[in-house]
Parts: sequence; structure tokens; C-alpha cells
Amino acid sequence: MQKKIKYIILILIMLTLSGCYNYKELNDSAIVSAISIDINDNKTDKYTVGVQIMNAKKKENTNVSEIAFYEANGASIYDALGEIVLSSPKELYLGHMEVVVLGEELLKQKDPLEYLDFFMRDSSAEKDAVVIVAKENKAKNILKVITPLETIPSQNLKASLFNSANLSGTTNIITLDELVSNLMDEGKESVLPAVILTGSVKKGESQDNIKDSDPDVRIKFDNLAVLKNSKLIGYLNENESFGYNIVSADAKNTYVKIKCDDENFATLEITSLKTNEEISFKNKKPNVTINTSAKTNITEYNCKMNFINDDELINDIQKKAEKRIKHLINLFLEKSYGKYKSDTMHYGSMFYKEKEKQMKRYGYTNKTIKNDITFNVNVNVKTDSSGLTLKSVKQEDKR
Amino acid sequence: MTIKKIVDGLKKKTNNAPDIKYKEFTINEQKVTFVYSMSVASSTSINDFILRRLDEEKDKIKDKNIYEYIKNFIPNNNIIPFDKKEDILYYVNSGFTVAIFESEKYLAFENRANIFSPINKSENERSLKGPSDAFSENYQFNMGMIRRRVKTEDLWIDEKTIGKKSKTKVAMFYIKGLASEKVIKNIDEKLNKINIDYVGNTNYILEAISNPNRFILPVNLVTERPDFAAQMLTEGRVILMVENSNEAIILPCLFADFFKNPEDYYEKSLNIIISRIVRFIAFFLTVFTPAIYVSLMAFNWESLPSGLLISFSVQREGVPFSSIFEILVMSLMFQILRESDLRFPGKGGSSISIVGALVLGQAAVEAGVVSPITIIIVGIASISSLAFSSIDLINSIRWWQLFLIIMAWMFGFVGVIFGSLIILATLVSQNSCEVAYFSPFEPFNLKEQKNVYIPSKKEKFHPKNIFRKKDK
Repeated sequence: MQKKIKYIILILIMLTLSGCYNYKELNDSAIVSAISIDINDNKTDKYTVGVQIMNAKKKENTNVSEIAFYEANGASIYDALGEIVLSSPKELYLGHMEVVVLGEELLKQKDPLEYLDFFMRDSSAEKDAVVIVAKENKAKNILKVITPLETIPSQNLKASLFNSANLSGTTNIITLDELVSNLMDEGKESVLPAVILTGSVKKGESQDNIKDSDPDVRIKFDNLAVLKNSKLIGYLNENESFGYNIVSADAKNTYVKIKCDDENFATLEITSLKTNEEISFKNKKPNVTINTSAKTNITEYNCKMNFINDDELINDIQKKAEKRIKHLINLFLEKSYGKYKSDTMHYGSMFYKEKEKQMKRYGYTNKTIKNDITFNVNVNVKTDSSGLTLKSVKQEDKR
Repeated sequence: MTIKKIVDGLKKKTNNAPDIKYKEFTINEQKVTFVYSMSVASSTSINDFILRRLDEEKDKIKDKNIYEYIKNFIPNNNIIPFDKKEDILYYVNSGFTVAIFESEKYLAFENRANIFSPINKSENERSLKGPSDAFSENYQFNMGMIRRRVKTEDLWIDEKTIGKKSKTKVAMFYIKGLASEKVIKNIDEKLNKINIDYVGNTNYILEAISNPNRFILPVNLVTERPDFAAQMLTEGRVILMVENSNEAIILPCLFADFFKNPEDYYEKSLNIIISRIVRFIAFFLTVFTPAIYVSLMAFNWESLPSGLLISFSVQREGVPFSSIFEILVMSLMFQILRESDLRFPGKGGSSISIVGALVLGQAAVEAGVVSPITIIIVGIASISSLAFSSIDLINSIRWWQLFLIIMAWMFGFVGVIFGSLIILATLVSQNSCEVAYFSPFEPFNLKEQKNVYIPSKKEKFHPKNIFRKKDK
């Protein structure tokens, strides 16, 4: 008898632990890889939501699937998804959603917290999806384009975002939960990667687009977008984006180009990058000291001088690189804190967390403090290796 | 007079069996009757060494006592004097010739006919290296095969007769001083308690002495290789040998023993590590793969990388059945294939495998009845289950597989975890002849665990009894 009770308790625990009885078959569900959200001018249906479905159908004779794109309008995200289900034979599954594309118009007009609530609340939705802005375009157009290299456009988007964030340093990866926590902070500021579409959408929709080796329609990652008060306020340019990535220490595999004489350039590859901030009050004004130290390798050197045993020359290159990085950081700070007054690095909340008493004494609130921050930037660059050759190839040639 | 009475009694008892013969002699006016069975005794040996000798010499033995004479001068290696009338038929049926004297004394001479198969190669437990002889149906041969390997005088053999009708001999081998007294006592008690009619094979004894619970894994090792049995003896285990059966039972048996193989000791110790690890991996693969697959396909999609999920989804496109049904049907098909392969006589077996591989594998996938991934999963699980030499283990693993599949189907990963916990609990709570079945993992003993994964030279050259510690 006691044994039976034990078994019953065991089964009860199992039933409760597995949540609901949610057995489901894979072929009854449509795996959503990307979602696009656009604003709709209609008053009752505020949003246009598009979904890209990965397992639409089997390609003939292969195990590769083709993608399908569905869109619908709705008063809320879930409403629109419900509309889509009407036209799709399968249930939508958001657990493997990789990309959320937001339209530019939508970001300019609406607070993302209004429509991202669904993704945070739904237990099956992926919180790790990257968020991308469709610059000067509608979000749905980005998902419609069929791209080379990766057969599934959303994977193409995600992979190229990771690559460009890692290698070029002009963009950054922001996931859904990161964006939401950024926006829930007092300042409601964040940056977002932006993507642009070249060519016409109509052409990009068809499979013919990838038949050419040089397709007409392409998707390319652009520089970062800046959100202020949860609304899109503008874009950083390439240098400013790079500055942002240095301050946030995300530009780990990127490079710095420096002008080493009148017309030639050298390229330094960053191998390790460390940034820390010290916050303080100077003359009753908030001050942030940014200390950046980078280790670099010389990967390209086209200059006239060669640097055999010339420490001074290497010092010179390091100085130039430091100056360049400092310049980039200042460009970014000027644009973000000067022009847009957007606290993209969240120094406001840092002051609030660490120096709350002083902040109040000097009459700042965590909303106003960002406007008065002054910056000190210290950059330290070290060159570890100069690669396989000492002189530039051009120099060797002359000899 | 008395002899006639006894003979009549025997005839009545056996309903005048056609193969039991009675031969009377009168020597010095003393009567003696020989009783033997034509079917189990060797007639040439009876003719040459008993009847002929008595015939030739009966005049020479004048005033001697015939009982003493026969007992001392008939050439036979195994003469057993006994007093009980009831034992006569037992000896006769065992291949002895029994002499009945007027004084109601009896002598049994061994004249067993050789009606056993010769020593064969081991077929069920094949090995690349090492001796290939296997136990045969001849009880004496089997004993000899062990004696030949372990010549120490400490090898003790206790013999018992079990089975009301079959009267089968069961021998208990152990090395005195090495095997644990507790284990010997335990087995002895269990053997004495057995109350069955017929002993057909070792399995009758096995089932009779195993604990009366529903535990599915075998708690006894059965081997047909004398080298393995001898090696186990030196580890302090007890071997049970049953007459007329070509297997020996090794007791006590641990869970870890199923991952050992007699062959392990015939190869370089270092190289065996990989084989052992492969066996462990195979065990986990065969128990868990189908269950994990079902829970991944039915509940926990988020645990799969996107690429894999799409690939699964595309493969399952157009398959009309649910994944659990597919797995169950394909597993069943594999079991049927295996069963028919085993039972089909002679060389027909290979054609069955070909048909099975073609029909169940390729054709089924091409027809879109099952998805290719199911074939892969069932294939992995089935192939892995065949990595063990113990048929008992292979057969019992199927229960676990099925149990976990059903748990996965109902509760997903949570079910698999709970199912494994239940399995673990049954394993840990089990014992084999008072020795914890799951040792050395539980009770935890790191030193002994090392010997399970890595067969060391020390263990090979000087095997210790891992069960003795508990005696003290």
C-alpha cells in the first residue's frame, strides 16, 4: 500500500513538473525564424507583423527547406500572429526565432516596450533573438529577400551581424532581453544595429536573386541606430559606431587604420581590448574617465619608414593609434551625449547606483545628469608583433 | 530370496523398463545380481570388466566372501558401496552398474556411456584471442576444465542433488579461503531451499535462487567459457555447475561485470580502457537514445540547435505517423528481425538480414512511411545493445528502453530523468547473494571503480576478492 502511494506521488510530481501536457508533433508546427514588425496606419490594426517560416516545404531531392513569408495586421502582436495562423496550415512556433526586425517608422513612433511585451511574456518565445532596425525601409522587406550563401535569410542576417560585429566593429549585437532591460532603465536609451536593403524588394523576393553570382538585391549591415526615450532619434556614422564599440569593449577582433605619412596607411589589428570607466564629480559636475587599453598587431604597413630596431617608430605608431582611437571615442561621445543627448552607455544609472548621495547634493536626477557629463578619455595602445616582415613590401622592392 | 524380492520390487517400480537389465550370478553358492541400464551405461565396459571377469574367475574364488571379492578385485575407478534399497535406481539411471548381494549390501560401479557432445568452441561468447573451448553437456568434462585451470588444492567442490524427478547434480565451486564465507553460506542455504521437479538447464537453478522481485536486470553472470569461470574463481566468486548443461553460473555478480569480458585479460591492459569505455557508452546509447529522441521531438524543441530542428522537421515532412509510433514500430521490427535471425535454421539467417535492411531501412524511408532520422536512432540503439556478450543483459535492456520511451512520450525530458532515477534506484537497492549489486559505485569505492574502467596489471596478476571486506 505504501509502495502504491509512493508511485502515485511520483506520477503527480512528474505531471506538475512537466508543466502542461504539451505533446506536439514537429510537422504540425511552423518554425518561425524571424519576425518583422511594422507600423500600420490603420487605427484598429496598429501593427503589421510578418513571419519567416523555415520548414515550409522540402526542396526537391534535397533535405533543404524553402522559406515562406506570411504577414498580417493586428491590434497587438499576438492578434496579428493569430491572423497569420488563419492563412497558414501549421501552428507557429517561436522557440527558434533568431531575428526580430523592427521598421524605422515603427521605432520613430512607438515605444518598443509596448509591442515587445508579448515576446517576454510568452514562455515559448526565444529571448535570445537579435533585434535589428530596417533603416529607411519597412521591416518586412528585409525578411522577404532571398540571399546567397545561407538559404535561410534570417540565418544569413544573424550570421552576418555576428561577423560584422566581430570583425568590422561598426555594429553591435543587441538581443531582445538586452534591449528590453536597456529600455526599462531610467534613461530608456539604447543602440540598435541597422540593416539596409539595396535594390528592389520585388526582385529580391524570387529565387532568381540568388542565381546570379552578384545578386542585384542585397542586405547589408549599416551603422548603429540610437534610441532616446524609447524612440529612434538618429544613426551614428561609421566612426562613431566604432567609437561606441570601443567604449563598450565589444570591438575585440577589429582593426584601426592610421595615417603614417602623407599618403600611406598602416593597419593595426586589435587582439585584446579592455575598457573601464571611473565616475566622479569634478567641480560639482559629473565626470567620466574612460580608460581604454588595447593590444594590437601590425597587419599592414605601407609607410615609407621601416622600423628595424626602431623603437621610436613603433612608439610613434602606437601614439598615432592612441590618438586615432581617442578621436573615435570622442566622436561617438559628442554625437550621443552632445547632439542626441542620449545616454547610450547608461552612465546615468551608474551615477545613480554608485554616487546617489553626491548626485542629489548637486541637484541632479538620474534623468538630467546625462546632459552635463564631461569626459576624460585615456587610451593606451601596445603593439605586440609586427607580423612576418619588418619593412613594408614596397620598401623591400626598392632595395 | 531377498535378491529376487528386491529385483521384483525394482521391476515393479520401473514398470519393467526395457532398458534396465538384470544379470544373475551364482558364485560359491552365493548369489549376486547386476542391474544396469542399457541406455546410459556403456555395455562394452560392463561386458569386459564385470561380466567377463567374473565368468573367468568364478572358479578361482572358492572360499572367499563374494562381496569382499567384488568390492576389491573388480577393476573400476569408482566403486560406491551403499545400503539403501531406494538408491539403486538413482545409480542405475546415472549410468552405474549396481551389484545386489544377499546380505542386502549394494555396490555401484561406474560404467557411464559417453553420450555427450564433445568439447566445442564457444559460440555465444566469441573472442578474438584466448582459449576457445566451451563447457559441454558432460558434467565431468566441465569439472575437469575448471580443475585443469585452477590446480590448487583449495578449490573446493560441494555437490548437491536437486530436482525430485531429474535428480540433477549441482556442483558449487569456490576457492577456500578466497571466497567469502558469507556468500558461500548464502548460496548453500538457497540451494538447499530449492524445491523443484526438473532441472533442465542452469536457468532453472538461476530462477530458483534469484530474489523474488520484479527486477529486470540479470543478477547472475552465466558463462559458457571455462577460462572466464576459472578467472572468476580467482576473484573469490562461487561457480555453480549444473549437470547436463553447458553453462556455469557465476555468483555474486555485479552490474560492473557486464562491462568486463574474459578477453580483456588476454590483451594489453592499457588498450582495453577504450573497449571498456566504448561498452559504457554503448550501454548509455542503447538505453537513452530513443527516449531522448522522443522527448526532443515531442516536447523540448528548444534544446535543439535551429539547423538540426529544421533538418528533423524537413525529414519528417509527409510522414503520416507520430514520432513515438515510428520509434516503437521500428524497434519492434528490429526485435522481430533479430528473433527470426536467431531462430531461422542454418544459413537462411543472412538473407533475412538483407531483406530486413533493405525493406525496413531504405525502402521504408523512400516510400515516406518512416523518417530517416528514426531509422538512424533505432539503428544506433540496436547496434549499441549488441555490444555486450551477455544475452541476459541484452534482453533485459529492452525493458528499460521501452520504459524510458514511454516516460519520454508522456512527460518529455522530465519523464526521462524520473525514469532514470527509478532505474538507478532499482539498481542501487539490488543485491546479489548479499553483495550490493551496484558496488563499487554504491557503496562508493573509488579504488575499485578504477578497476572497472581501467583494468590494471595489478588486478590482472593478483586478483583480489572485492567481496571479502564485508566479512570482517
